[in-house]
Amino acid sequence: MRIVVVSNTTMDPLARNLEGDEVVVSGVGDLIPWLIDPSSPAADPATGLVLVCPDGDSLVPPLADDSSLLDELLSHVDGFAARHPGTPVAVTTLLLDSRGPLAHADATTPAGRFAARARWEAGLAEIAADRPNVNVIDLRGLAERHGAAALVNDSYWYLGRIRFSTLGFTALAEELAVLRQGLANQARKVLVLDLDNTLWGGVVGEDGLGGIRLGEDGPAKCYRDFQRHVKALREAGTLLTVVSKNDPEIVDEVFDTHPMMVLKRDDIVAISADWTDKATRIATLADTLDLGLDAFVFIDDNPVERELVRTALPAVAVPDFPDRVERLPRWFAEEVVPAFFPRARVLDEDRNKTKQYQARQARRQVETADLASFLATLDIRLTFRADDDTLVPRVSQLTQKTNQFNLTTERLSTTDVQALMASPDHAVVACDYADRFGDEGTIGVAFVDVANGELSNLMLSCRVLGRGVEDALLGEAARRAADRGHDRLRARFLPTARNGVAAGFLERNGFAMEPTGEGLAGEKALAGERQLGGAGAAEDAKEHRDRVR
Amino acid sequence: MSVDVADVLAVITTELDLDEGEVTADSTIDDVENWDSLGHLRVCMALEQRFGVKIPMEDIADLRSVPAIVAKLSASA
Repeated sequence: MRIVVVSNTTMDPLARNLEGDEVVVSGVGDLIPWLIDPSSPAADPATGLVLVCPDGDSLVPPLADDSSLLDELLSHVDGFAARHPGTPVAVTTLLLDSRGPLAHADATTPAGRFAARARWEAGLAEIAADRPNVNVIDLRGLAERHGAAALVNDSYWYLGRIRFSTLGFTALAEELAVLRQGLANQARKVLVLDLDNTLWGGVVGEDGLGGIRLGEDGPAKCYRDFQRHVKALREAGTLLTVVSKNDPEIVDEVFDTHPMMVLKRDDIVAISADWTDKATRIATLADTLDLGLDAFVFIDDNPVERELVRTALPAVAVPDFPDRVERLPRWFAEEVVPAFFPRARVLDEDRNKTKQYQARQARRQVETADLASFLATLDIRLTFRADDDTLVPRVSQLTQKTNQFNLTTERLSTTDVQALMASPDHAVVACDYADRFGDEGTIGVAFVDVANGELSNLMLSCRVLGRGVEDALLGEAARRAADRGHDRLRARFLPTARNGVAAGFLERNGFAMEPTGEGLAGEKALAGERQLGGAGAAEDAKEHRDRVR
Repeated sequence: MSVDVADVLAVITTELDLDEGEVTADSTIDDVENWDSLGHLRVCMALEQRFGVKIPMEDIADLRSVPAIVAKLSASA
């Protein structure tokens, strides 16, 4: 990736930490010019990410009588982000000297470090909330973890305006890597938790409900704090599951009656409590949830269980457990989360994820042998939205995460999606799904090259597959081509190791497919597509409901 | 402690993006491509990291050749 670093210090050594990337570094005088100038490297469309890393002490000199420079820089960051909505921008918080010459008077001086830091961080948070492409790298948080003195150096600062030490550059590069994984939606989806000595202290089967350590006092708080972190992950979209060696009745009793449990039964999509081996149960869980094992992270205090799962299911991530229980909450936040659950943004879809999976399990329970009558009872409501740019992050996320029902597996960045939506030659048709069990949000998308009468790609989240949604989405895509005067629609299927479930989909929908070098390609005649819809989403949804019935 | 010249050359080669052999045990700043002032700071930072030493600021500008660097590191380490 081409990364452009914009700073008022010498950032060249960072390139050594980003070996796989093309790194372009500004000169110390280019901080603001590179954000403004439309011909600067930062503005180049080939740029994949802009890192804005201003040096705090240069912008907030001691005894400065105002900090308008900070406000000015904030407005340039905002302006750059607005002009380049497809370019991710990462901005660092300020690393300021840990003691200023004003000593304790700093806190009450309008232009002091306290005020500057608060102003900068509040400004960044505001910009990031407004602009989906702006992300904050918490340099101050890094300094708190590593010690600020270790991250900076004095001699190279005075000799060549190199602010960071070797460790500083390494730590910044690591933080950037975590952010990039978050931007690429690489968070694992499922956290599998053990119970005894993991979610609480002690063994509930032996110590009893009153004997386990879980509470607000003393060491029992370690477990409660750990549960709080885990719950936050759930809110951000991670599915929580429990795989425990216990009698199910005892586990139910803890979840139903223990007053200090932060995690409630509703937070967990699947609880497995019995005495069979955990690897088999995790594999079963992967089937039930329709997720690959590489989406799983397993946390268990017992090294034997961890080794068993590592050996039997190498795709599952199995971090070591901290050797001291007081490390548990911090270990989780500082090591497990960045390694396996990096997130740049939490979308509404993510927040509802647990509910969606639970609704889906409820659907399965009422599922009968007669699929058609089951579907009729679901009361499916589909809404189609074309080129709706509020959906850019979600559509990009779908292209990145949908491996199974995906005709070409072409991955698109938010920039790519934005460009397709803006283009008159393309239609990006997103499909929202709801039924009587709940709202799934945007679960499918079709990309139509309406200029050439070609379906570029179509994908659907597996959780609604097999209910006719994919056919309705294809119909909607075909209509877009028909509306532009095409009497045929072309389409391609590129097989991968995982998209077998989409094989045959085009054929079933009337496409005559022929093998090509890389897969299958073919076309179907469009007849009547134009008459079908055209009156908007509500009517589309109704029309589809009738067809499903 | 004596410092292995080969280790020093390896650090310089990496930091300055050189091919092997472009910097030798008797090279000076003026003989080697990319060994400009910023390159020199990067080399010194990397040497400090590699050998676990801290070179005083005022000495950095004097380290204008591989022998000078080796002598300095040997004295500091």
